[in-house]
Amino acid sequence: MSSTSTTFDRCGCLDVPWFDEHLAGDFLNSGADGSLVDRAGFLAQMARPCPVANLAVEDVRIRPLGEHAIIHGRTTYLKGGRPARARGATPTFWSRRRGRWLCVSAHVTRG
Amino acid sequence: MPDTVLTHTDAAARDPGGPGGAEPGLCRAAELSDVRWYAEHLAEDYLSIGPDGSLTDRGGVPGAHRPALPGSSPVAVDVRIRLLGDIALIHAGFRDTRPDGRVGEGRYTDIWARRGGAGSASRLTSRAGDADERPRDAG
Repeated sequence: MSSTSTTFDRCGCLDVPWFDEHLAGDFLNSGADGSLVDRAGFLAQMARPCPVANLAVEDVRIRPLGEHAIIHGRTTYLKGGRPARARGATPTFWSRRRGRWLCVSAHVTRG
Repeated sequence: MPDTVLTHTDAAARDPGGPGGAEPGLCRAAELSDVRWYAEHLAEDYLSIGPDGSLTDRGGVPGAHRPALPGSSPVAVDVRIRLLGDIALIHAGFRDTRPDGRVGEGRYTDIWARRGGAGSASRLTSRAGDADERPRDAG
C-alpha cells in the first residue's frame, strides 16, 4: 500500500495507464474545483496537460480498516511559474477486491 | 463493488442511526461549534484534512472547521452515499454564507465506519472543503 499510495500522488498527471490499472470501476474523485467525476472523467482529466509541476508527497499516513484503507498525504507542487511551493492534499480510500487493492475514492485539495 | 449507492434521504430511511441520519447533524455542529455532537459522533482516531492539506485530529475539530460561525447556515447538496459493508463513503457538495454575505461552496468527502455493533456508526474522516467564493447573486 505504501508504494501504491506514493505513486498515486507522485505520478500526478499524464500516467493514464497507471490510473487505469489502479482505479476501481466505481471510482469517484472530488476535485479542487468542486467537481465530482467518475473513473472515465478522471482518466480524461489526467490525459490533459498537467497544471502543476514538481508534484511531491510528504507525511503519508496509512490507516488500515480490514479490507479497506484510508491514506492521508500532504502534497507540494509548483503552479503558474511561481517559485514558492504550494500545499494541498489527496486523501484516498482503497479497497481490496479479488486480492487487489484498488482506489475507490480520492479528494484533491489545493491550498 | 459497492453494496449500494443511496441518496441522503434513502440512506437515512434505511438506517436512521447510520451516516445518512447523522450527516445533517454535521452541518448544524459546524455552524454552532457543537462540541457535544462532535464528541458523540467522531471516532477516537478521527482525522480531518483541510483545503491546505493540514491535518486535524479529534481534539482540534470544533475550531478547525471553517464554517463554524453562527449564521453561516451550511447545507449539504448533491449528497451521494456509498455503502461498502461497515464502511460508508459520503460525497457531497456544500454551500454556506460567508461573514461578508457572499455565498461559499465546495465539496467534502466523509468516511464513516460502523463500530461497536448496529446503530453506532461514527464519523471517521475526512472532510476537505474547497471553498470557492462568489457573489450571492451569481446564482
